[in-house]
Amino acid sequence: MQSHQSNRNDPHQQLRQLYRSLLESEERYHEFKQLLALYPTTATETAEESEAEAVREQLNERIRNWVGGPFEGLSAMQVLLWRSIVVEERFNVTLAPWKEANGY
Amino acid sequence: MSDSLRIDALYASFLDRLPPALQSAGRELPFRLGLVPRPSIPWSQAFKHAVTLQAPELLVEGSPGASARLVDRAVLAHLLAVIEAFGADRVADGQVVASRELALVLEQVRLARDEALFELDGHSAVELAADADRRTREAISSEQQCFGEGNPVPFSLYEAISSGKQAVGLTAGVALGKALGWRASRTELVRTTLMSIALGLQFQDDVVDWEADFTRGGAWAFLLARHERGTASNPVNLAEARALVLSSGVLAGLLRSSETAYRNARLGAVELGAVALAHWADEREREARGFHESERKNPGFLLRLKQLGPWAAEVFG
Repeated sequence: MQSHQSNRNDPHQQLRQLYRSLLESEERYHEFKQLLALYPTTATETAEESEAEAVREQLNERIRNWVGGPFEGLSAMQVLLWRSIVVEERFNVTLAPWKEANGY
Repeated sequence: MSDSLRIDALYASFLDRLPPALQSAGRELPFRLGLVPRPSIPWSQAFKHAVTLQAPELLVEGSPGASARLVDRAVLAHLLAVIEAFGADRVADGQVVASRELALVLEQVRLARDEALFELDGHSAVELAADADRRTREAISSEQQCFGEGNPVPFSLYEAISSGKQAVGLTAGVALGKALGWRASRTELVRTTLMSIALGLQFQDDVVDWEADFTRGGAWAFLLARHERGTASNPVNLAEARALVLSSGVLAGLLRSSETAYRNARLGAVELGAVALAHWADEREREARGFHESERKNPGFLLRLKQLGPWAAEVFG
């Protein structure tokens, strides 16, 4: 029980759960991507306008729903990073994701 | 020398023979063909699987008489054939612009490939390559015709065209087998094993790339789905096409076919005594089985796995 509880509170496990839930559902994946796309690129950690904050809160709420439990929530910087990767398809070149992408 | 250094050294030997005006385009070819995100990334870093560029070497593992020189010629011929095939395919489907410079580099790639093949098995290998070029060109042309028409396509036609597209990737392995004096049944096993590897990779690629292919003008998964569902209406946008493809089960079917192709590759590699290749094919077979199960339960799974890959790599390391 203790271990189950600690898993639910472990941010890494929560992200793993989010990843699994996105892989399992086309609808969730598109909603995830759409909410990230709605987040304005002008937002920063220190100056997040109310519209941006509302999108981030909506995204955090949806993630809580998808992972079915506590989720401490994404910061403005995290949302911006995730947006750049998932929506704008900018990625960390050192990780060489193109190798996975081309399949060969 | 490591595998990646060797691949880049072999490609560098090709670059050395290019006229100065084509050197830059030749060096940046992986980038210019849209396979890597930066011009400085070499061929050794373009693909996930060593077999893509080094198949002949893996096929003759442990064979007596397989000298370093012969194997090098075969790997060079193979990697140039694969590079040229990627170039031709990407020009045909509009992924890259058919510039005169690119056409000249690809022509040089073909010439260097033929020289390496000639060293292996003389005119016979070069003629085989010319025939393979013709079959691949015809297959690419048939593919473009199918995409242009947008009509439903049965799996048998898709498989025949896909096999035709792979023809250029079989020649170097077969020529190496002949150079080693292998009997006809053994070189035929080389050919069928290489074909199985190529189809295993191709079927998976047609799953993960289907949306991008559809957006560019045509995708096999979409035409197979139309055939599977017997739909008279022709979806016009990606959202409609996605609904059709995901509900048809064709993506899971393609992954099942990929699993079968890898199994055939594994059996062929075992018979050839190519232990490392058999191990690789076994891993791919298991992976394809897992992908097939996940795709069957969660349509669109493999494409989402690809799309979320960079994010997952960043988040989970």
